[in-house]
This record gives sequence, C-alpha cells and structure tokens, in this order.
Amino acid sequence: MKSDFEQSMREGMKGASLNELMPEFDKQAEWNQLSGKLRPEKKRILMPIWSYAAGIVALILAGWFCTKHHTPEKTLVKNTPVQAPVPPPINEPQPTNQVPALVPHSVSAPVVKQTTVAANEPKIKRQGRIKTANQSIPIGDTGLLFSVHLQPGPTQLMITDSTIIFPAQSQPKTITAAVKKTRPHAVNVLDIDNEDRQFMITEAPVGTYANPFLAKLHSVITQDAIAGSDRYYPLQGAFKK
Amino acid sequence: LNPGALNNTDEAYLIRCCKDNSPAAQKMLYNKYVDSIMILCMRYIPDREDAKEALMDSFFHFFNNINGFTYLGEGSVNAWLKKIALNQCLTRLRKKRPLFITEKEVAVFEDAPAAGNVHDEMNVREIMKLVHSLPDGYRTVFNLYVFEGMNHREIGELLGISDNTSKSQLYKAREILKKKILQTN
Repeated sequence: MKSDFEQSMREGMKGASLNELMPEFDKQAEWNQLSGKLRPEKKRILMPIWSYAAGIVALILAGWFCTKHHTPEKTLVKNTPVQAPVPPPINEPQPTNQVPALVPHSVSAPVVKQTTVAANEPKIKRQGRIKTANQSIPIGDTGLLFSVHLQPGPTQLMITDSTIIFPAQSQPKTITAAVKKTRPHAVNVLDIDNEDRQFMITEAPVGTYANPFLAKLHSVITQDAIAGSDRYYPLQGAFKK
Repeated sequence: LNPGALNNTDEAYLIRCCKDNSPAAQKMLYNKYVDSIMILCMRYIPDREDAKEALMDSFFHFFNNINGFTYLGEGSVNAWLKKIALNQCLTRLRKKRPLFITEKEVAVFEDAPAAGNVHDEMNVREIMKLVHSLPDGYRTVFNLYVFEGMNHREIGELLGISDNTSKSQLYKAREILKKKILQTN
C-alpha cells in the first residue's frame, strides 16, 4: 500500500521535463553519437605509396631467390633415376654385322686403362678369339681384342693407350688397332650404277609441304622426271610411296 | 520505404520502418522517448554522465534488437524501452559495487512513515535530489516500488533478493526521506 507521500512523488515526477532537470542535455548531439554507433562508417584502408613499391621489390626478390635456388641440375638429379652402367660382356667379340657394308672405317685404338702386369718375354698376337684364356688379358670393349701372352719372369709390362711399353731390356712396340675383317657385301651392278641416282632423286621430307597442293605438285614433278629417265632403277626404293 | 511517409507518427509504422533500418524512423522514436528514458536513468543513476551512457546503451540495444519486438498496441514501445533502460541502469549499478550488503533484516512495518503531501511543496528537482540522497540499494528499491509500480516479490526476483529484504530496504528509504523532508521544512 503506497502512502500519499509516494503517490505525490510519483505524480510530481510524471510531469517532469528533461529541460527542467537537465537543461544542458543536447538531444541532437546524443543522437549523432547514437547514430554513429548504430551505423559505423566503413573506414577505407589507404595503403601508402611506399607499400606498393615494397611489394614490387619483394616480388622481384622472391623471383630471384627461386631462380637462383632452383637450377635444372638439381631437378635432373631429383627426378631422374640413376641407372647403374651395364658392363660390357667380357671375352665376347662384337657381332660383325654392325659395320655397314661398303663403308670404309678407320678405327683408332681404344683408350684402355693403365695396367701393370708381370711379364718376362711378352708375345703379342692379334686375333679374333682368345684361344688360351688362362694366359691372356683382353683389353677394350669394341670388338678389338688383344691377347698378351706372358711368360713368367721378374720384369713388368706396361700397356698404355694401345701402346705396350716394355721394360728396359726391350724396345717399346706400338700396336695399332684395326677393324675386324667382315665378309664383303654383294653389290648389284645396277646398284652401283644407281649410286649417283640417289643424289638426283630428291624426296621432300615429311612435313615440308604443309600445303597439300604443293605436296601433290612436287610428287607429280618428281615422279614424271624420274619415270622419264632411262637410268631409273626401282631397286633402290626411291618411290616407296 | 517511402521517406515522405515518415511524417506518420504511428508507432507501428515507425517500428516497421526501424526494422528496415530507417535512420529517420529511428530518430523520430528517439525524439519521442528520449526525455522519459533519460529521467528514468537519472532516477537510478545520480551521476549524469553515467546516466547519459545508460541512455545511449538503452537506445542502442533497442534499435539493434527491434526485429525481435512485436508491437502490441499503444504504450508497448514505451514499456519495452523502459524495461531495457531499467536493466541497463541496474547493470551499471552492479558494476560499480554490490547493490545490497547482507545485513540483518529489520522488522517490516507495513505502515511506513508518511511524510505528508510533498507535491505542492517540492518541485521535480527537489524530488530528484531527495531520491539521489538515498543509498544505491534503498534508492533502487524505492524507485522500483514507487515509480515502476512493482511489488516486493517482483523486486526480489529482479534484484535477486528476498521479499523481506525488499521491504526492509523500502522502509529504510522512507525513513531517510522523512527525515530529509522534515529537515527541509
């Protein structure tokens, strides 16, 4: 139950005005402050000019760093598996059909490792096959075989780059490597006559003529020129197409 | 939203516009209720700057949470705003120091000492000065009981105290006011 005193106070406060209680209160200023809190302005972040320059310099430095520390050799080492070299077969002569027919060859002696063996009276033979494996040393891996027959004794024999240097008692002998003789290839007389023809017949390499018209024209001209020649022999396969 | 239609002071329309985040509608509602809310804040908080901040926080909370408000008729906006402002004031008072110190409850007298009719003798400033002279706890209970029209149970629930504590606080507040009025006279 509220007393008259309290009711009087309540009624007295009902008619109160803010201007009477607080004349310095500024509604507009308070509203501006409240409005600023309700809708805060989005501040645009302005980056200074030097920050752009610093960014460019940083990019350049990063590129230089990557280029310097990313060499192709390292990539090759990382990505390419290393395969162990396959040693060539020992005491097996190379097949003779690797040497093309009618092509002169001048083969020098292969470089071999310096080897020191004990020898007294060496005898050097040139042969295609090793006959006595117990007393011979094969050198090289290109089909050229040397067989050094040794006799027991105190002296030493030195073999360097196809040159065998004998000890003081004997004179050094030079050995020149040579190609093993191959069977001569049978040559047709027509083929011999046609050797010059290979230079006369010109075939356009693949992809030379991107234009189909030019390719056809070349083919027609070539075929006509060759077909009209009485020295044309088709054994060479000049016109495979 | 038609800005020209903001001249319509219908609260329902203003609330609808405020829900659309219209600054004009917000300002109209602010101008309509700022006086009463500021007086309420001043009753609870003697310090004027603190009262201003409580007012600001009240309107800020009101506009930010207006989408959850349902307009129920005339006076519903005022009631909701007052509730928000009251909570803001109590929060500020609690931040400063505890409102109520545990004390021995005094005997509750239903017949509180009356101080006579002061309405004719004191103006609003003097009434406010009297209210401000009360300690925080007494003043809060006195304000809630006299000006907000709450009963002791509601006051106890709001402040987290018992009904008897609320009665005791009100009794002491009345005694202090009586003495002050008698001294003034």
